[in-house]
Amino acid sequence: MEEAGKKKALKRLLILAGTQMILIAFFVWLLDPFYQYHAPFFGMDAVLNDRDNQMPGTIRNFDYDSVLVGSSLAENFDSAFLDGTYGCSTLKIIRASGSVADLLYYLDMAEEERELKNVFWCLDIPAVYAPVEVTLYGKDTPRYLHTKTVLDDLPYLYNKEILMEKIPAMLAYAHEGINTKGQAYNWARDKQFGPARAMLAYDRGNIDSGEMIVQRDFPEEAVLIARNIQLLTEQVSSHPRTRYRFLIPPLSLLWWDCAYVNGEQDMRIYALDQAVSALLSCENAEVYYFQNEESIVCNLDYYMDMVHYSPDISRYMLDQMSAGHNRVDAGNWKETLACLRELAARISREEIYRYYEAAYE
Amino acid sequence: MLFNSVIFITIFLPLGLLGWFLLQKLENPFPAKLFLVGMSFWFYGYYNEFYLWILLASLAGNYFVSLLLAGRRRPGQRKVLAACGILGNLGLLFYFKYFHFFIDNCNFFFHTDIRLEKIALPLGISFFTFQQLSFVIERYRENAPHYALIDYAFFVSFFPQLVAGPIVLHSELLPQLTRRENRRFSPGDFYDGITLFILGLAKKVLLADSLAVLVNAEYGNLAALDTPAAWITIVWYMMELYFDFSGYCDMARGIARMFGFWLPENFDSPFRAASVREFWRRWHMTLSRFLSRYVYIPLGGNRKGRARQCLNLLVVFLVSGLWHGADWTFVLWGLMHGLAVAFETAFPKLRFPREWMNRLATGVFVTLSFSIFRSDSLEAAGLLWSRLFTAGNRGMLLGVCNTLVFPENYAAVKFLGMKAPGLLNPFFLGCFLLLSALGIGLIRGQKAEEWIRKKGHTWAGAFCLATLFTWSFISLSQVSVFLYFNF
Repeated sequence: MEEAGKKKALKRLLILAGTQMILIAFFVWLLDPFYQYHAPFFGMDAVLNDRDNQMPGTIRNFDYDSVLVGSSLAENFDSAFLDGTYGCSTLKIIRASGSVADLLYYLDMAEEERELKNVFWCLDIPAVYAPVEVTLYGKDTPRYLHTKTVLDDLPYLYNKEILMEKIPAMLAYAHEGINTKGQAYNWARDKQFGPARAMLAYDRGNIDSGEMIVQRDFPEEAVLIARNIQLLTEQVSSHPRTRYRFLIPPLSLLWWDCAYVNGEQDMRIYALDQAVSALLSCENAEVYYFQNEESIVCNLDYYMDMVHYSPDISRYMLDQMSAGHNRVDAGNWKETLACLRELAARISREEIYRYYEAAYE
Repeated sequence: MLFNSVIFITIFLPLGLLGWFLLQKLENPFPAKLFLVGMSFWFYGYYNEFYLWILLASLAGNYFVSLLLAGRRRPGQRKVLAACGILGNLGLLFYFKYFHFFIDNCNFFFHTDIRLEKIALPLGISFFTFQQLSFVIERYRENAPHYALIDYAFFVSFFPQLVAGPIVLHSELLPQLTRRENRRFSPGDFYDGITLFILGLAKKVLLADSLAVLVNAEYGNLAALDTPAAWITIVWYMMELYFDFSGYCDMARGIARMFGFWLPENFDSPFRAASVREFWRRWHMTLSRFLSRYVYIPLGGNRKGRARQCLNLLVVFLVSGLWHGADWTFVLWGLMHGLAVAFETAFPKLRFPREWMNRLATGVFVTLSFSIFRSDSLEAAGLLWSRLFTAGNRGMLLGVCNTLVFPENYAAVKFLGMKAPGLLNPFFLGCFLLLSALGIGLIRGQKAEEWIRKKGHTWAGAFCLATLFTWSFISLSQVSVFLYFNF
């Protein structure tokens, strides 16, 4: 080919490649599965099924005045129920670990542009003794999620997985009404709950019912507990116009027995006590407590592993909270805690064996 | 830095081209050369700064030897200097690439317990060491002048060929650096370069990486393979390796072309070879040229009788095996090729009557030998070969095909999974057949440059090229490294 012919061919190639690149970027911008640029157009329901990737975008670009915060234990809560009950518009803010530091990072992001009316916080006990560093931007996390600039958005706009997986999935989910409205991030679909499934997640080892396991000291965890509680109380007290409602979810008897077997039962109860006591001292905070619900905690029909309960329990917790039930205060907390100690001891002494015996039968 | 990365395509390459051609407008070419050398160092040190120091040390050492050779006329002195240069290069390579292998074997054979910290293998060390080795030898033979430092640094570090070749000779690259017409931007060169780059990128990102999905899954699951699955795995690996390395070489040559430089070809339809000897004239041609020039011929080549020639060939291929990696699998692979070429040399008339039979036999041999090359150990290679010949047919073919899940077929897989699960297996089989046909068709088809010359200038050709580029570019979120970076 002559030089002039090549020049012409080059021009054609650049025009066509440039057009394709512009069309791809426009298409991704328009449908925006991570909501990096905008909430859904054309009255489409937002599909929220990819929490770590969608969280920063939804926090920045959605319209809401309240948030439901927590770990995977909060994902099955119906936020539409909260909207109806409390007259608000609620966005779910979820971090798998429920890490206080990570959730506060998201909350700070949410509070940059609005004052929140309500924060509904499903507080896992493990989150109270989790590391206090923000873990959201590791080496595998796309940078563009956490920055406002568009300069680092190329891996989002030009990404085969976004174009060929995320967008089709989003359209299909929107069509089927999955993970839309109050069911954002709900994972309960197709999951099995019950003892057979839950017991797969726990191996107690060969420990006799009469065997006493010494519970260990926990100086390192005590430091983490203090730091996490400080982060929590600072957050609550620095936003006096926001109403904080903390829900302490019911973790199963497997989780409590595991705590005992690993010598961590005292530490976990201490973490819970410290957290609840500190939160109860905040004027704009309410604590709703479900850990002593023996009919739930000791019934594995409601669980799929040590901690994840069925949507029925999620719904029950919200019902109870909205009715003002299960609330603890400074006056009844110590008594409630004493009941927990008794329950935890009984779990490892008796309750757990119901399931082991059932398994062996 | 990888050619198949967003940063390379969107920042590094445009910046490099812009700087290179803008600086060429100056009368003095030095700033442009300095700029390109600087860009090459950035390219090389992007992932690991430490690697850059090794490259610089190697470059400085060889340049110093060249400088000393410039002032020496006496053969004895020159021989000592050349020997120092050669030993220095081989020593560097030995330390970073073979020292662990050496110690492991000492421990195994002499029952010692020498422990060693892990030594990181600098990217492409085999390539830039061989390139400089050739330069030192040519300097000794007085076939190469002593270049200015900036020119020599350019020769060694020119980024398109730095980490995985082609292994370029000084006489090929450096005269181009001083040529007047190379200092002007040429739309023709740029077109040739960018089209070659796009085809190389597509070979790597769309084909090799797709083939790798099955290959990696099955090589991680050797014990479970039946015979058909094992054969599919090794054939797909052969195709993956070809598209990966030839794709890289196309990209390297394309990038060099955009800057106005020609790099030598490394592949010439290798699967059309009708003998193993011919295969090596078509596969990784610049390595074959290096080994022929600096190992085979100095050993005596074919000048000392047939038996000695066969021995020389065996040595060459053992060196080639070791060059590819510090493991007994590579030694065995080299030995197999050496024996095959020696056999062909010793019995040149022992051939199949038809050409296609010879091609098929060569293809089967090469595929079998490269299955060892891919294996993690001799045990794994043994296991794979036992699967290839004795595992029978346990109906694993569909299971193998089911590993082929890509973003491209994600929506269809999900849809069929929900609405017609019974069609999933036929669908995956279809994906397998399509990719196999595409791979084999491209291997047997015309070379990339021929296709560009014939079709690239039409609207349809330009649309194909543009689509291949955008499709490859959106695939870069799943970045993978090139197989030949390890060698």
